[in-house]
Amino acid sequence: MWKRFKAWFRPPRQLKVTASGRVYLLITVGVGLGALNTGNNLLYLVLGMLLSLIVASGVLSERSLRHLVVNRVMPDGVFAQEPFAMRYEIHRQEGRAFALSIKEADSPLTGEAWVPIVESETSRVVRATCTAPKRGPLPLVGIKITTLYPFGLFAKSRVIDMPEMLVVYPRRGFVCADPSQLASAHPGDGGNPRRRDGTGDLLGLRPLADGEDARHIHWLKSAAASELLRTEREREERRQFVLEVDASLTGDALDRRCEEAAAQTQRLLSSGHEVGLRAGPRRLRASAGPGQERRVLTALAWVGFEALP
Amino acid sequence: MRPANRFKLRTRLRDVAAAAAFASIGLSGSVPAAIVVMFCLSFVLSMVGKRILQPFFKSSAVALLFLGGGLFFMVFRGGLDLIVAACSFATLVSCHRMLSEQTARTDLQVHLSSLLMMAGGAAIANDIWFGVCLLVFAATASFALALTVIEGPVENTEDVPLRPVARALGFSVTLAFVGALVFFVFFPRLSWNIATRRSPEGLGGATGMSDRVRLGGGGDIKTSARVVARVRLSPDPQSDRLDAYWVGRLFDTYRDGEWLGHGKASPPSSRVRLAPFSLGVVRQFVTLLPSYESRTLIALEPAVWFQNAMASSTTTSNRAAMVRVEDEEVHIADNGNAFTYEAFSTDGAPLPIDDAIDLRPYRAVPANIDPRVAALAAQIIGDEKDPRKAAARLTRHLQRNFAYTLELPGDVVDPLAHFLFERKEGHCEHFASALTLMLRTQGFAARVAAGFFGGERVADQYVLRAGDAHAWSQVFVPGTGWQTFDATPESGRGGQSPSLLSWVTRAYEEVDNWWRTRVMDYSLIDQVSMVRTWVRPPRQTAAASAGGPRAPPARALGVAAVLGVLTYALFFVITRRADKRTHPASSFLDDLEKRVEKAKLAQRMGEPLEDIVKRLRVSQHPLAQPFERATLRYLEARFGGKPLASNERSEQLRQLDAALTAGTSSPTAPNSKQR
Repeated sequence: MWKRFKAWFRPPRQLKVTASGRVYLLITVGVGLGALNTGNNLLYLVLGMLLSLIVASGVLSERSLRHLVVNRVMPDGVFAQEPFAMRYEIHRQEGRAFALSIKEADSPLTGEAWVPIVESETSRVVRATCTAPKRGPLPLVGIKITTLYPFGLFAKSRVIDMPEMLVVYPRRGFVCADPSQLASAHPGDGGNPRRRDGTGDLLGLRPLADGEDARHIHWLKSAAASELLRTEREREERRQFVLEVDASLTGDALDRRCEEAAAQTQRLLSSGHEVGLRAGPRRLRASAGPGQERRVLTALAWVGFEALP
Repeated sequence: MRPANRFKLRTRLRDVAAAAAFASIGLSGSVPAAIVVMFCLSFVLSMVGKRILQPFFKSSAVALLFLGGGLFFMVFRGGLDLIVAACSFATLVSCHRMLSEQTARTDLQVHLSSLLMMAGGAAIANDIWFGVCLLVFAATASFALALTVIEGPVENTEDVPLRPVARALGFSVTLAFVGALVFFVFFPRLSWNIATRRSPEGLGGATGMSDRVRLGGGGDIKTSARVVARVRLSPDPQSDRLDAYWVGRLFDTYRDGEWLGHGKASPPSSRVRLAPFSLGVVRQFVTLLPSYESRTLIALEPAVWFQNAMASSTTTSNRAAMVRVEDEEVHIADNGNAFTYEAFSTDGAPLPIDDAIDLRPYRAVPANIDPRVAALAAQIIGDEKDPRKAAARLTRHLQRNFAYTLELPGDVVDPLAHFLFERKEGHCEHFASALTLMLRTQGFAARVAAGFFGGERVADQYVLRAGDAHAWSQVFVPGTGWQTFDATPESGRGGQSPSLLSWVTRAYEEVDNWWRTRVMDYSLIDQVSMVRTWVRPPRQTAAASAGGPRAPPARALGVAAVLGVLTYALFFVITRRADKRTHPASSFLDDLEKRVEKAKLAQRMGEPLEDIVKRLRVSQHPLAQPFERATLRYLEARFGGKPLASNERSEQLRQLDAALTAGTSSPTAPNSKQR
């Protein structure tokens, strides 16, 4: 209800005077005062021209902002304080639009896309290099299209409502230490193909494939089987880790802990370990692979924002 | 257009805009010559792409500050007008930025300083060239600014079609000009007059109505087409050319090759009476323009009365006093940029003058005059005693035997003797001097008059050009007074400018006249009378209203025509928009739905055509096949990007109608069976 009430009173366009526009207005006021003081008709003519150019500027900028359809193409993964590409598809139903800059409205995201011209009935995809300041779910309310056209004196903006949620993962960093709560030293999942490429206990034999190292050949069994067999040994270092984020932490401490957990997740998963997460009410079973990394990062992004829908 | 070309175009447009802005102040003639030279140099260097101040940006900026300080020091010392100094400083800033590294920021700075020049030009200029400069400045600066904006905050390597930009900006500039005119016409002219400034000096005089006539000088002024005075006559003679003598100054003494006056000045007064007069005079409303550069009043010969003199500057207009210098001239006592006054002249008849006046100065002959002059005069005049006949004989002789020329050798020892006995050609001053002095050698009283000859009609008034400047003789005839004799051949009396130049200047004068009356002199009174004309139109005259059926007034017809055009334009726009929004296939859908209704198939609310087709197929309706074809075609045309051909639609509908007719005429229609 309150949002509707606010939306009712929100002006359809936002207007901001640029630095050169301020000088222009100052000159206009000066010419106006001079005309009123002296009654010089040429000053009235110049004043009329200056004021008319302001009106013309308003008309042309409005023509540039109308009939625009913009769609947002969300990025796959966004890390805090790390540039990412936000893409916008912009379409003009009729007429041409000039000098448009596109950015997120009322959002802490920095960066904007720039389009010099949008032709009639033509779609264009433009890219904005944005940066999110901190992790967490970032509600995007709409897209703000601004034009300085035609004279660069005023920046006129239009906001197209397009609510969407952008989940910002914790900042990527590097953590040397293993997680303190080395959850368990259990062998990994038997179904994981990577568990047989270690140097630990013998798990089995299989035919030697082309290009495989000859040092892995079990010569005795090969002789018995009349074919080259190689040994498969368990990876001893592969472990399951369940990372824990203390839900009682708040503010920067919580952010730092999330960043640390994200870095550990990335390192452990890339080493072939399985990683789980325990963060307040959220529980993730230990697992491996890129899908698990995304799940952990998403869960870490939401830590502390559970109240949000 | 590629970025490099856009960049060049932007620079050129910016420089042209700056040049137009500078021209608006430069043409007023108030800007110091050094600033003019500096701007011209900067403009040329910038146009060829030389940014000579780029490596010395900071040091040149400091130098610029010092130059600005110097300009305002001159203002403090009273050597320069404040507005001229401000305009000069804006010019210097423009020059500095034009010769610095070119970025969007420097472009904006050039445009803003040019805008300051334009505003200053409005304060110190007053001719139509300012309007032209404003137009050029607005168009070029708008385009350059738009290119800067489209270029964007980052380097843009994209090709941008300039035609749509130009079209949109053309619309914008046109809109701005229309808006400026509307504002100009309707904004009330109220002047606070808190602080006013000195009037500009202008480009300098053209006529230089001097206090002496020197025979050794050249005749360059005769080729000048510059307008120096405008005169409205009452009663209006309605002729294109007046070819009248406009007297300004009289000279009685010839000494060392030049004519001088020795009149005695009377105290300044608001009216000057030269002679008694009654009805039958020609009333003249005279405006002496800044190019006249003199305070001597002119009037048709012979002038009898002067009154209502006003001295004007660009900001004010005040009543001025006049001074009569006995037998020499009448001049304005106050300073001003331009002057207006009323003069009265009799229609050609000489003024009665008391025969007892002292004629000795008008008979005086210089002691060192060449004796051949008197001998020639005596030879031509003979023993004629009537001054009129004697003057006529001499005039005829001079016109027949001497040629008119503007090409003179320069200063000679005795210009009169040189003219009469050696060169035998000269301009009006030679002819007038020769006639006057030759008459004097024979004892007749004569003097030289200087002023203008001509009067060219422009709109409802007559203009006098600098080239119309002329000199002639006046001979005293006892019992009659001073009578005019012009020894100059007729071809040399008026302006000597080429015909093409005359045509151009005449056209210019028409435009300039419009500019002065409609723009420069537009005032609150004009606004009030305009509104009054609209609100309360003048009543028709009795003669017009007495007739039979009256035609509607022209104003009503005009308003009706405008309203009609506007209504048509609105209708055109609306229908065009409606056509744009409706897909061409949609009307085909309407036609199909009409057939469905006609066939009494009872289409349900929101039922798509495909479902109707299914129903028709199930019921084996005769419409099933053609309707299915038409439906498929509609769907293709509407959503498949295959528009209907020109005759395809009518063909489909014709088949449907045929099936419909067959279905309704057949008593065993399946649909009816099913029901």
